[in-house]
Amino acid sequence: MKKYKVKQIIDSIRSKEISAEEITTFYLNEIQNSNKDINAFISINEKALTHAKEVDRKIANGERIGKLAGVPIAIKDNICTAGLKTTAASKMLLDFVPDYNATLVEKLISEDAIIIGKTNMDEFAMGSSNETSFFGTVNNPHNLEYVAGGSSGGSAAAVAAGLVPAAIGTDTGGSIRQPAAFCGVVGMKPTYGLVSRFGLIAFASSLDQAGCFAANVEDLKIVLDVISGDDSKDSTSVAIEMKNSPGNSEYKVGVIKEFMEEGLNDSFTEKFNEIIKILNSKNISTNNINLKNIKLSIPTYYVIATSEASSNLSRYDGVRYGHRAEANTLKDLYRKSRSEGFGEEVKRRIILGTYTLSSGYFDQYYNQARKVRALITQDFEQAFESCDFLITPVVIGTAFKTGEKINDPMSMYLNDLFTTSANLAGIPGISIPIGRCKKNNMPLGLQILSKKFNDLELLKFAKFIETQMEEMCGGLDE
Amino acid sequence: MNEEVIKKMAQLSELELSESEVSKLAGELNKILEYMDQLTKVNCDKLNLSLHNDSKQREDQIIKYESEDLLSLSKDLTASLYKVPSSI
Repeated sequence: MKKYKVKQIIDSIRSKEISAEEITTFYLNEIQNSNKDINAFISINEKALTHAKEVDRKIANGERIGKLAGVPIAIKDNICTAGLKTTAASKMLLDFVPDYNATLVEKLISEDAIIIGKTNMDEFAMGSSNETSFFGTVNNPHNLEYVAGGSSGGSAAAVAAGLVPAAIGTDTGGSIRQPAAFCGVVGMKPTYGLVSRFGLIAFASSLDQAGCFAANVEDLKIVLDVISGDDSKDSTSVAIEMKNSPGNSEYKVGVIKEFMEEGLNDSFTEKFNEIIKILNSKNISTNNINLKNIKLSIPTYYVIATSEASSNLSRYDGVRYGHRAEANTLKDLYRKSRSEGFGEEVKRRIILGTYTLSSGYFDQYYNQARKVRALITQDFEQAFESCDFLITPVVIGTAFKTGEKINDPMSMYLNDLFTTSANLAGIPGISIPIGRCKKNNMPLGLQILSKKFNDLELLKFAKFIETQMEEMCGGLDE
Repeated sequence: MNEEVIKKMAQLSELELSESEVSKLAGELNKILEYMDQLTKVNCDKLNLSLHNDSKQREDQIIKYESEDLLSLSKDLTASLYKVPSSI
C-alpha cells in the first residue's frame, strides 16, 4: 500500500509533480476500497474533489496557496463541518448538518486542506474502543479482529490504513493518544487551550481538546501549526508563542514510578528499557519521578467528565435539532427523544454525572474531584521543575479484541489509567509507535508528557525518539 | 446507589429506563462509585479552590446570525417557530 506523507504531498503539489485532484482521487479510492473492512469513515465529503480542483486552478493561475494546499484531511465526526453531516456517531445527531465550521476546520480550509470525510468514533466521544458508535466498531487495520481504540478510533485507523495522510481527533481522557497507540500512528493532545474548541460537540468542556494524527511527528507538527491559535469564540483558547529551548543533550527525562508498577506487558517493558538506554547513551538523564496522587486520576476524571457530560448533553431535547420522538406532551417529547437518541454508554454517563452533581453528593464527589484534580496538577508542576519530559506507557497492554471488554464498563474505564491525568492537568501529551508486541503483533505506543505550552519542545523530543526507534528497528512496518 | 435513586436520577436527566436497564445500571454504577469513593479519603483541607473563572474576557458584541438552515434542522417548524406538543 502506498502511503504519502503530508510533507511529501505539500512539496509534490507545489512543484506540480502531482495535482491536488490526483491526490484526492487516490485517497477517495483507498477509502472506497477499504472502508467496508475498517469502518473508519461515517461520511465522505462529496465536494472534496471540487475543492481539490480549485487548489489546482489556483496553482495554474499562480495565485497564493495555503500551507496545506491539496492535503486530504479527515475530521472526527464530533467536529462541526458546514454543510457536511456531523453525527458524533449518535442516533441523536443522525441527520445533523451544521451550517458553520469549527474554528479548526475553518483554519484547515483557509490553508487549502481538502476535508475528505468524517471519521467514526465512540458515541459523543464516550468510550475507549469505538464500540459505542451508532455506526458500528472501527476495526484495527493491523488485525481486523482487534479494536482501533477510542474514542477517535476512526481517525487513527484511517491514518494507519493509509486512507488519509492526517486526521483530526479530540482527546478528553486519552481519545487521541490511546487509539494512536493501538493503531501504530502518532497522535497528540496539545496543551488545553492551544486549539480552539469552538465547533466541537462538547463532552466535558474543561477536559476536551482537539489534536491530530499523522504517520510521523513531522507531519503532525505541520497540521498542528495550522489548527492551533487564539480564538475569540473560545474563551479558553490561548495565544502563545511556542519557544525553542537549547539542544537534546540538556533534556532531563522523568519516569513515573507509579505507572511502571502496573503490570505492563513484557514487550513494552523491553522497548521502554531500550529507550532509556538510548537516552542515557545520548547524555540525556533519566530519573524516577513520584507523582503521589496520580493513581487517583481515573476516579477524578470519571467524576468530572460525567458531571460535565450530564450538563453538556442536557441540550439535546428533540426540539431544535437532533432526534425527535413521537410524543403527546412536551415532557414526553424530551424523555422519549433522549431515551431513543442516546446509546447505553451515554445514558450510563449522564445518570452517573447527574448523581455526582446532585444535592447531597455534589461536595462528596464533584467538589472533591475538583480538589484532587488540583493536587494532581500540582504534582505535575513539581515534577516538571526537575525534568522536561515524562515518558510513560499509553495503555497497560495493546489493542484488545472486539467484544472483550464492552460488557464491563469498569474494566473499560481502567484502560484510561495512563492518559486521563494529562487532561486533568491540561498538559500536552503525544503517543508515538515504538514497535510491536511479540505476543499478538499489535503496535505498542510510548506516551511523552510535558509542561503546559511546551508543545513545540515536546514535538522535538518525540521526533528525536522516533528517529532513534527507526534507526534501531527500522520503524513499525519492518 | 439503589434502584430508587437510579430512577430518580433518570427522571432528573429526562431519560426513560426500563426495569431491566435500571437493575443492570445499579450493578455497574455501584462498582464504579465504589472505585470513585477513593476520592473521599483524600485530605484536601489545605486546598483553597476558588470558583473564579480565570479565562479571558472580551467586549460584549452583537453579531447578527440568521440562518434558515439552522431553523430547518428542527423536525417540526411553522413560520420560523418550533412546534412542540402541548405542555399542559
